[in-house]
Amino acid sequence: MKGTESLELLGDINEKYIASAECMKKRNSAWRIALPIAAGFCLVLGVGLILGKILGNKPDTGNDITAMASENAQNASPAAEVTAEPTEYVPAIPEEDRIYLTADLSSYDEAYHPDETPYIEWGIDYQMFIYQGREYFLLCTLDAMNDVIGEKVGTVELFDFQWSARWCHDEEGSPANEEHPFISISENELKGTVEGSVFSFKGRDDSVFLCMRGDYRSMIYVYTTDCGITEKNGAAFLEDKLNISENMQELRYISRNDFKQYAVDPRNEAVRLFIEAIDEGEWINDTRSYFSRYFDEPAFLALEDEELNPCRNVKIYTNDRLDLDIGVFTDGIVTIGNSFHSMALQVDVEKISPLLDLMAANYGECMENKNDDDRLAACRNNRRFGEMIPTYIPDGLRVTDTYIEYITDAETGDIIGTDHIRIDYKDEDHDSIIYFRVMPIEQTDTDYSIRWAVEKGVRNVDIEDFDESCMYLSHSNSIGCEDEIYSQSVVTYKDAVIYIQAFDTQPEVIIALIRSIID
Amino acid sequence: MEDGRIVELYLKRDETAIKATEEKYGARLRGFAYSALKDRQAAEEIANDVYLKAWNSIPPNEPADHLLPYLLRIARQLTLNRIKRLSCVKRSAVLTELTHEMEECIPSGYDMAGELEARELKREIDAFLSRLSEEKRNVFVRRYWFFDSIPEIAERLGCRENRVKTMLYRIRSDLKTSLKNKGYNV
Repeated sequence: MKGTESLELLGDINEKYIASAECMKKRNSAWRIALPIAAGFCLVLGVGLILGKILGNKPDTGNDITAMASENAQNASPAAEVTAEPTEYVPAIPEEDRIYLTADLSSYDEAYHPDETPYIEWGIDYQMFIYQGREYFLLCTLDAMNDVIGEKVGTVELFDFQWSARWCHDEEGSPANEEHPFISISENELKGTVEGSVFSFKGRDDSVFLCMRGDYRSMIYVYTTDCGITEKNGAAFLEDKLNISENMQELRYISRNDFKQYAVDPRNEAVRLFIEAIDEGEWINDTRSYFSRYFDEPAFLALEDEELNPCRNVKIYTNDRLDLDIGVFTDGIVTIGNSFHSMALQVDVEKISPLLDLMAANYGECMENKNDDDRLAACRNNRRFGEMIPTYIPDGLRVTDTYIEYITDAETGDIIGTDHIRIDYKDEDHDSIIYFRVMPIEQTDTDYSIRWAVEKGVRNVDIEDFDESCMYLSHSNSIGCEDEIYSQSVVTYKDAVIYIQAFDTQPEVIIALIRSIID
Repeated sequence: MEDGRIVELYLKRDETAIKATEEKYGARLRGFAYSALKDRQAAEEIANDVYLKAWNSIPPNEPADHLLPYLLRIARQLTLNRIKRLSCVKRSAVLTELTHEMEECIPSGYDMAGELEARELKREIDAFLSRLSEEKRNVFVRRYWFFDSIPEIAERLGCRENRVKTMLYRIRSDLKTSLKNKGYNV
């Protein structure tokens, strides 16, 4: 079963069960409040603790944990998961100059649950691996076609931290789990939450940046080492590692007024001041956890009111296409990337105000249509399926998303083919929606959606013979949407198959879309 | 205002019923939709659609003693519809994760189009839930009905997340076994 059907099945369960679960009270749990949900630091702590335990050398304070994690991972060579030739890890920063910003272990370990052993939290949105004793964390994702992939440096193997050690599951009588066998500490090899070939990032230092082809090969994931955040001010990361002042292409933000993306020239005075503020800003261990900045009740309520939400999101693009997510809080806290959850920069509020004012005024070039055009052009330029992309865009609809999934060479990282292309067309209110997908003809019997359509009676016909009689047409069976037309169409064109799902869209629009491929 | 009084207003076709519903349950309905969609505007729209749907369905329905579950059920279906329509492939990561978990224990050949089979399967799931302890049932319902995250459930339960994960894993395993014993091809 695919999609949400399995969840829909539960929709009709007894009302008593819903009411009972609805009333399931929240309980106070001091340790949970204390534990930063941001898995990053738990992970770092866990790494340090495990290695500390292995060596029988429990650290005294949280501030030493990161150091132990890196050094021990480097010393324990069997635990290094990269299969490339090991090289000596030489810390770039002298020990005396480093600061380590982690969660406070004492408040977590001793004050709140003294009888329990800390364990590694499982963060589903948290990606990391260890290479040469350094922990690399996801910094940003780039479009798959970007020419940034350098030499292969090794292969990282998946290691699911959820099941990383027996003491993760200390509940009495826990059964043996064939799928995720519990592994004793002595057998534990810390690896990471991602797997696959790891490459250098062209023109950048391997000890700071590495990259991978992401899942579905539609993205490049760029990783940076968290151990690099050992400096005292923002310039150590922004300037020394990213060369942002010289290398910045533009700054973008999503407007709160119209939710469109705007680009600002890096030479703008407000941007210059903003970068200056970050460069001068001091790294601090923000007393608020990453989640509490957003999801604690007052902040959550603030999300309900855009004016009260204290965080503005900004993206900085570099000339070599790195993009950096920056959270700017009106109280002068600045967060960088996805990796450094509990670390933040404390910056001069006066210096970030001009940028915040500029964002409030929708200053800059609106990127929305430009991005749409770029995305569609990339689909049309695709060697494998470019000629199967419709030239017609239905009235009132626009291309809101495109997905090109590539086939890549695991050894070189090169793109060697295209798996499929998907284009989403939507109207302003997202009522009328068309999902267009083109794929190799041999996928017709494996793709669930097409198989389902064929089972529903859709005739898989050549594009020349396509008309309304070949479509599966029905009214939506969704509650509240009964009057909407829903359709599915499957069309063969040359050596590809085009599959279209449409919501609240007239059949003639679909026919026009398909016809425009050959006209 | 009491639920019974609100339902009475619906039955009398008094439009203040909607206002009363919004005042009493609006935040919870929006919160429910927001937790799955992470979209404030969409959550607001879902809540509004729930009021409309409630207006159109009471009468004939009279959920005087279970108004909130009744509204949440509508909100849940509207939320799932929205997810299906807006993001077929790039769905909310949470929903994808939940779907994968449920697929471990729901028959693979099951087809929503087979209404009779669907009803029978739903009945089996209901019966299975009735055999669970209240705590386990609540955890299961919070996860797969309310789409709560593991940390949220752990917070409600006042326990560690791994306990919740273990509990859910066991419930899914038991559901799978139960359905297998009933002849389903899981």
